[in-house]
Amino acid sequence: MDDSKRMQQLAMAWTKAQPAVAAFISSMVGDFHQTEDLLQKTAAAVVVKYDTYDAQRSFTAWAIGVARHEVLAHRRASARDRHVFDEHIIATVADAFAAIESEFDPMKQALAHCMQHVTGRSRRLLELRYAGDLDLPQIADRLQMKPNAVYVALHRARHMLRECIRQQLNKPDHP
Amino acid sequence: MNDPLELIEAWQQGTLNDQQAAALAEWLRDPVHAETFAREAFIHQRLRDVLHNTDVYPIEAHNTPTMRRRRSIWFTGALAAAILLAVSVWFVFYPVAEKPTQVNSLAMPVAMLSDYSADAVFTGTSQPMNLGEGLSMGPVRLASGGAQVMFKSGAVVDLIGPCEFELTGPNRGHLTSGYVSVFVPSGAAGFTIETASQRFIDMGTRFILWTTPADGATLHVLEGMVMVEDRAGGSSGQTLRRGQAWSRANTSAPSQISSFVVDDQSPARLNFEYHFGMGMTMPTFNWDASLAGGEPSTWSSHSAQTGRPLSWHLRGLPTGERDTAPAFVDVTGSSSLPITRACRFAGGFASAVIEHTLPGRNENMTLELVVKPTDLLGREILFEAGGDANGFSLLLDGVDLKLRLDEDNVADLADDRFLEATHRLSDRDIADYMQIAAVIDLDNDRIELFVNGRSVAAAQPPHHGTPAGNLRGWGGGNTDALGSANAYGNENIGGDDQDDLRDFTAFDGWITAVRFYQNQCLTPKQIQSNYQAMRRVPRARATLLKESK
Repeated sequence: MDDSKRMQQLAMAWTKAQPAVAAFISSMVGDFHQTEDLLQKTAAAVVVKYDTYDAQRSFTAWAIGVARHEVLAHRRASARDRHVFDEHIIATVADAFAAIESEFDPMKQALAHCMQHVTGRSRRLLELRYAGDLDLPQIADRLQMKPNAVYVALHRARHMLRECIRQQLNKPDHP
Repeated sequence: MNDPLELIEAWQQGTLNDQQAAALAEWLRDPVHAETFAREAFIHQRLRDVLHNTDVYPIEAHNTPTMRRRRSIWFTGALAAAILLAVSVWFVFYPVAEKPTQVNSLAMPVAMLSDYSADAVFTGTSQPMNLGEGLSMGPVRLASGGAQVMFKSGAVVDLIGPCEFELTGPNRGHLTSGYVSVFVPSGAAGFTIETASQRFIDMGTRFILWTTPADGATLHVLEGMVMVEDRAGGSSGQTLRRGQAWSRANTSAPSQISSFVVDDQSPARLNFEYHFGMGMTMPTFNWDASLAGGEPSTWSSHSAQTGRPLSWHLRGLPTGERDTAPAFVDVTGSSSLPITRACRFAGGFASAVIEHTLPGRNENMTLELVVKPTDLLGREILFEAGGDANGFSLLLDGVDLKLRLDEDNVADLADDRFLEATHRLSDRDIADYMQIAAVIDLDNDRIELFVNGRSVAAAQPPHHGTPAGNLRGWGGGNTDALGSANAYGNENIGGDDQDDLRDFTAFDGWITAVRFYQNQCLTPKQIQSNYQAMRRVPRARATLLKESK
């Protein structure tokens, strides 16, 4: 296979893997902007290391492995920051992402379906939290609610989504 | 909080305390639990991706019932995927070194030239400017035409010449001067453009930004959100959202925020811009006839600073007859400017009286009108504030356009004296809509009149700069009026002196835009830029990405 075809394959594989890789990084570093930076670094590293990729393996699992190294490097570079997860847990979570890789596409579709049914205040709360990137006090301030009430309402909205996704995935012909 | 799902949510929200963090970490040591965590994390990230382009702060002001909201081509999922793929393919062909040194990292491409127009002229650029060429950090100077740069991150920047832009990283740039239109897919959120004094941090959106070294910067957020920070620090950032505009002149400290309506029918066109155009200075209040609608008896604007509405009450005869009340009319095709609606004043008993007086009556100010008189025969009022002791007016006195200011407690203007700047108009001037700007510079005891971007007359008290000629205000307490006096008669016209304006009557013609700048004397360059902005036809967007859809 010539280089350009191989590179096209890589680009397509990366496009498919990126949501899971982003989710893994986000789950480890928490901060949205740090996630973006690490995602870019991972993409660059994936290109550099592509020669070592074994096509018999899952590309997503391999890319998550690359991302894991980037997370570890970031962790070492920011040694003074508070770290919730040690290296063992980072490895365990990376393995978990790889293990459930096949679930991500159906989950994406189920989430898209379920989001159509989230309306009213629940939708507004999710929008403020995820689109607005606001924290609980900011949401509370904007909606004239108490922070604790926001917490409970967001928790319920997520629980509702989780249940809806579970039901969708359990259907024999889930979306 | 012992529920692991609650611990995960707290971690995602950044509210986990040390004890909870330890509990979560312990729970995660079980691989089955780690899988649950991965599912939650995936949903968390997907929610962010799915909702990121949501308008979380719907603009309530100015929404007109006729507006069609249609997603632009830039925001289809297919296009986002195309951009992602294009970026992926592109960076694959420009692999980075495994251990980059500082020198070769500077030479590494951080973006590529993804499109340029046939008339694009690049100047003083050291790197080759070929389509698809990788661009390293450094300046891109575009003398004319248009060009599009796609960053490694996926952010896409359209440059409209003349423009000087510098690539300063894989997800950031510096705009020295000119106009850029930016699209940032959610994956490139955090894309940053710096100008001389500000930093604009995108949160997954599209926006337009222009700046000149002399005039500061102006930002319009078309989608999503953008954070604006002072580069020097000292103040917290402001978050601008869809439908908001931000402006800061280099010479004035306060930034100004205003709202506009986004017209999704064309990515680069705003209804606000329809009259106001790119490159204009943001007014404190603007009344734009293209935005008026719904309520026929008022013409509303919102304060740029406070968002508070301020309306003109459009009235006819006091008996309730509405024949002569100013009304919004379709004027499509009547102007060489992109004007489709105007407020028609029919003279007689027409009046447009403000509900509350304009603010800052003892501060500098600029008033800008876009008007078209029917003729140059009458004695008509374009605008008046205050009364005969302290006030000002813009008047049509036959062929003379007059800016009149009187302040009786200033020695130079006491008794029958007043300040007046006059400019003679011709029939040619009124063949199309005119921009008329009145600048009252209290700091320098000066008034100045502009027509179509050009200074045409100015006046100062004889003893300006001394207490005898010290101008202190322009409005007094009387209610302001547009195209009329503040009552159904013609009493208390601003700047009147011993009833010499008594026979002036309501304006006969069309007013399509009114802009009030509180505590700001627009510079001649800003006024000219506003005029040019009105004449400029929005440019079509570059098309490479559309083709790759």
